Amino acid sequence: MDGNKLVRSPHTAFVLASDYVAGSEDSFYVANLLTSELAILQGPSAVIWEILEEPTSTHALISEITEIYGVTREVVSASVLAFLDSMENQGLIQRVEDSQPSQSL
Amino acid sequence: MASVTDSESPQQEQVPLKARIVLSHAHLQNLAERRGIDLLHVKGYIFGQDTYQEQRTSTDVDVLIRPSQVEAFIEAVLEAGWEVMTTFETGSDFHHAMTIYHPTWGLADIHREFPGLGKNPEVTFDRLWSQRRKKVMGGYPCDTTSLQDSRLIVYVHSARSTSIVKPDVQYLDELLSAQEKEALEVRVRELEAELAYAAALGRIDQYQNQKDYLVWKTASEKTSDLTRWYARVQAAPSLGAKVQTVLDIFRVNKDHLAMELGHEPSKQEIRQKFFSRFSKLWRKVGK
Repeated sequence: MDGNKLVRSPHTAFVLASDYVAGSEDSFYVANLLTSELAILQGPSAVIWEILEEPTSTHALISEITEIYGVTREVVSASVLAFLDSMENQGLIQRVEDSQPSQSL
Repeated sequence: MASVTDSESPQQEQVPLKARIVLSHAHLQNLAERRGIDLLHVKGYIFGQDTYQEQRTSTDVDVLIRPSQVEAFIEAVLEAGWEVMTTFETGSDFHHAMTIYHPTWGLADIHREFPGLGKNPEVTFDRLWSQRRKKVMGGYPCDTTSLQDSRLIVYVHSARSTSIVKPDVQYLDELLSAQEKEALEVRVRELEAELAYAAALGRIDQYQNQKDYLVWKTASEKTSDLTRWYARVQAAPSLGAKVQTVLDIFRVNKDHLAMELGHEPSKQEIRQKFFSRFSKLWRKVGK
């Protein structure tokens, strides 16, 4: 996945779950506007969704996750990559040209 | 740390209806943009508290489509998995909107015109479109009417309620300053909405000499079915339209009956409904 940046697909919409259900502060309801499928992103998944508002390299994304949760890359890399694949397959995120040098954190 | 794979493909019921309605605005906007169709979101959650009182809820999405693009939009929603619940012919006395349903998004009304605004739907749409604004729904920018037009639409829509209490009108009456009301009345004239606006305010009797007076009188106040039917026939623009209106009055609206019964009506149920119109008429005439 390195070499490309990832960002939310323009064909998505989302709302903060806590605006509708009390006690769901760390969740988003995300819609794929092309397929009419909904997803609930919770916890770290919701954090990743927030980060991907801007085009972000996988490397930078994992670095940010490790910083937020205080864990090593080895602990989260595999599951983050699997999750990104799943989001891409669901059409929720997409790859964009890496026009700017990716930030190395 | 929780697993980063904490995402689910939920049953629709796991996402509250209100959230799905907000996301539905984004879906319909996206659909229209991909087809190059001009669409204005009206009423409902997109109007917000500068137009509706805070606790007001909505059960669907209403969109007004550029009249010349209505067919293309219907084609688009059907391809996107929406089903037709009522057609323009069966939706209401005004034949202005059709209701569609999608298992994810719920209900939506497609308007080809807005009753009470102007005589020419294409011209009216242009007038509304020229002053449109963007409002973000579910993180997605959607086209809606200007603040002033939104408030006017709420007034005009309330004119189709026969309830003596019109909370949306009361709210706006209290919210708007004298200056804002004056400016709104200028826009009422620009959009040829005088009768419906007067009906919403309970002043329709000032327009007794107008052709559509009875239509708005019966739409905004409780009157007999006979008077309402007479108003519909009287307002029909040609002899052919008047004949069609009479036929429509007595024809059983199968779409509405299905929604009322919760299932496709049987022949027996259609027959019962058909004859109930005559017994109602007989009771009125026989009084």
